Amino acid sequence: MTAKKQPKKNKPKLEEEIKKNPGLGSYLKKSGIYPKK
Amino acid sequence: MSVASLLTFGVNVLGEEVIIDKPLIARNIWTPHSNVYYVDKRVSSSGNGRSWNFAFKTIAEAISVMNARIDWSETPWAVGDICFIGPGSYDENLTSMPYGATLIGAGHDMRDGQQGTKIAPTTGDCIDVGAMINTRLINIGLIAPASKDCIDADIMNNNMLENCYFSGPAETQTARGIVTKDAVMNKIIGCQFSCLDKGIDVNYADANDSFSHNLIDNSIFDQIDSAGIEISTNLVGPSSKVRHCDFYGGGATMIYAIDDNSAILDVAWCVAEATNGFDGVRSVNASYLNGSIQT
Repeated sequence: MTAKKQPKKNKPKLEEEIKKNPGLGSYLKKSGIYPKK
Repeated sequence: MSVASLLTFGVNVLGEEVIIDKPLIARNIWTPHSNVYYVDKRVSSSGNGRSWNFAFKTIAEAISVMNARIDWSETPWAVGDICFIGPGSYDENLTSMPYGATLIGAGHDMRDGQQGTKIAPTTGDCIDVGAMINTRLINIGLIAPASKDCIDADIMNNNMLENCYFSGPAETQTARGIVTKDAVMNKIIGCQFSCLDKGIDVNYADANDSFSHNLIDNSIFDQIDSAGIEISTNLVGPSSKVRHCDFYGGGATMIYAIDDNSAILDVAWCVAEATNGFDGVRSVNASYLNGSIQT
C-alpha cells in the first residue's frame, strides 16, 4: 500500500512558524487565512 | 479625553490642589490590556522594557515579550501592545513580527538613522517571517543588504505600514522591498521604496494565494530597476488599489512601474516614468506614463 501523497507545501517558513506556535496555526486555520478555505 | 482626566490631583499642606507627580504608567491608552514597551540600542544592558530608563536593547527582545502575552484562544487575541524604538541603526534580522501589535520608530530620518530608526542588518533580510498578522509599523526604515529583502513574509494579513522606508544599499538595485506570497487587507501608506530591484514583489505559491483588498497609497517608488510592483500569475484578487503613487527610475531605468500578471490591481492618480507603465492591471484611471495620460 502506498502512502497517501501529501500536497506540496510552498510556505515552509510559515509551516515552521506554526509548528513552533500552534495557537497561531489554530487562529490562521479558523479564520481561513491559512490554509485557504 | 480631557487632559485633566490623564492627571492625578491631590491637596498639598497649604490646602491647595496640585498635580501629583508620579511616574507615567506604561499603558497603551488606546485599548485595554495593552502595554507599552521601549527599545534603545544605547542602553548598556536590557531592562524590563517598560520605560526608556529600563529599555530593551534589541527589537527582537520586545517582540518576544509582546508575542508571549497573546492568548490565541481569546477573541480578540490581540493585546495591542505598542513598542517605541529609539533612534539609531539596529543590526538585527527579525524572524518574528509582533502579532496584533505596533512598532513605532523615533523620527523621520529613516535612512540616516541619527534622529530616526532603521533596521539595517549586516547580513540577511531585515524581517524574514512566515506570518505577519495584524501588525502596524510606523516611522521605520528597513535597509537590506544587497540581494536581500526588507520584508520577506510568506503571508501578510491586516497589516498597516505607515511612513516606512524600504531600501537596499544606495546605487545597487538588487534588494527587494516587500516580498510575499499571499497578502490580504494590508495598508501601505506614505512609504518610500528606493534603491531596489523590486519595490513590492508578490509570488504565487499555493492554491488560492491572493493579493486582495490591499491599499497602496501616497507612496514613492524610485531608483528601482525591474518593477515598482510585480504581481505574479495565478494570484486571486480583486479590490487591491494603488492610489496617488509616483514611480520613477531616478538613478536607474525602471522597466515596469507595475507588472501585474494576474490583472487584479486597480490604479488611479499615479505618475510613472518607466519603460513600461501599468502593465496588465485591471484598470487604470487618471494616471500618466512619461507624460501621457493612461486610460
